Amino acid sequence: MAEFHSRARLTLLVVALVGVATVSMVVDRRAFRDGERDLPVWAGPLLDAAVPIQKAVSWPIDSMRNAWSNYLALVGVRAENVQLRSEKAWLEEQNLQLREALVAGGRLERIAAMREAFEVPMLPTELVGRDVSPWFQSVLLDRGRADGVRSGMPVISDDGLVGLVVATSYTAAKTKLLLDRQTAIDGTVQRSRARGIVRGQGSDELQFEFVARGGDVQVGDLVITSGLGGVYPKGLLIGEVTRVSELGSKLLRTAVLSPAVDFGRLEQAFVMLRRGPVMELLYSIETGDEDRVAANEEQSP
Amino acid sequence: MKHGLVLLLIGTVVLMIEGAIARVVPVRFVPDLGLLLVVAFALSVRNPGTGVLLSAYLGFVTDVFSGALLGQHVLLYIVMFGVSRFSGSRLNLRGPLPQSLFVAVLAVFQSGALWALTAFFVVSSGVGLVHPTDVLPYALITGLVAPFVSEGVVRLMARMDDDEGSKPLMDLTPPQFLA
Repeated sequence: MAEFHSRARLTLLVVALVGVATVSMVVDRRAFRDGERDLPVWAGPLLDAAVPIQKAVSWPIDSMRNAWSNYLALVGVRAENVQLRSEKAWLEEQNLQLREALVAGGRLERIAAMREAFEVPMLPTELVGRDVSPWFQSVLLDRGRADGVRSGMPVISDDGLVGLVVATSYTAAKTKLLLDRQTAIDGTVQRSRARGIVRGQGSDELQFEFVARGGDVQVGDLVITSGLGGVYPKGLLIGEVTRVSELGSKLLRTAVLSPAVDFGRLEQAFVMLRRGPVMELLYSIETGDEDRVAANEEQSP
Repeated sequence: MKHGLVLLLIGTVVLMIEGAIARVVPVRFVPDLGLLLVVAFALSVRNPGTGVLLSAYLGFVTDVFSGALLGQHVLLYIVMFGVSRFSGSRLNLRGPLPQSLFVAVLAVFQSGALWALTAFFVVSSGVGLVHPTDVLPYALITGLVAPFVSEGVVRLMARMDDDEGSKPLMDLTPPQFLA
């Protein structure tokens, strides 16, 4: 009889836990879709507690890695310095010429005003941990709600787009990387303006799906965010085309991208402190402005 | 109760450390410590109810520290606990080789189940298939580490049992005035 009660209790426990897990998945999926995914009060402290522990574990590893990379960086720094100086001089000259051209076109002041309006505050963060499951690609950042970070904010590095904040606690933020299988971003080829969807593959490569007809995509092309969808701002570098599939008559073709960001070496990133709806608003203004510019150009002789 | 809390705390810290290590080691070469702990609990924890609760908790921590939906690993780890417990009662999983093989197979099964759950709940994004080239190294590494984790959990529990046994459960010496 006691054994029967014990088994019944165990069955009840398993059924209850499975039910809670299933409901939790449904609720979490809905919250993710709606862009509001601040972790519940009983889950947030886990992320908060992880930040100092993961920092403590990372510190010796990062110190060793930095010492080695600093040593490597010193080798050949003289030759690199000479090359950079010459490149700087060339870029300064180019910059001057472009400014001249803009002033001549009377557009410099307007562009400066636009830049001020669209300037997005950036929050520097440190990457303290990575996904514990090999089937998902996310990272833990050491800034959270206390610093104004919210779900839906894009994360970038100096190399390009990193991902999107998907959950926050008081002092930490979970960011889904571009590489994650669930990531899909509207992208544009910078050279030809061909548009398509960039999808994460769960590996170190991305897939770019574009419409075959009129989709001019070549190896070496850079793919940037298109700004459509209102989540990511326009013009953030996603990656470079390394391979284009030749599928003949198929409507959709695919290209393989190498991400601009080296995720294996990523240590710091910036959270763009504006979320989707605000971005959308900014881009509707920008589109309007472009339309006005186009209209002016049409009117001018 | 105390055993459970200690295992719970250790599991949490282990997963936090795993997250920090995964920053520098390619993630497919990091063993799935959550799964390994669940298998070790299934083979060594006496009370199955405690084991189920511990597994569910580990699943929850894994969900918090990964890009999975909250509840995905909870569900999977409960199933993994059940499968391991049942297999442990039917098969001899005490040796390192059978244990490694069993965990490697379980890791492959878990990858498939995780992909299926993700595809079911995140249909709109068209989740890509898990490639065998990703699954095999992960299953191999996880399988190789399994006997060590299992042994560690067994030793830890034996040590906690010893500590418990060395303490008197109740002070039976009579008060001075009765002596």
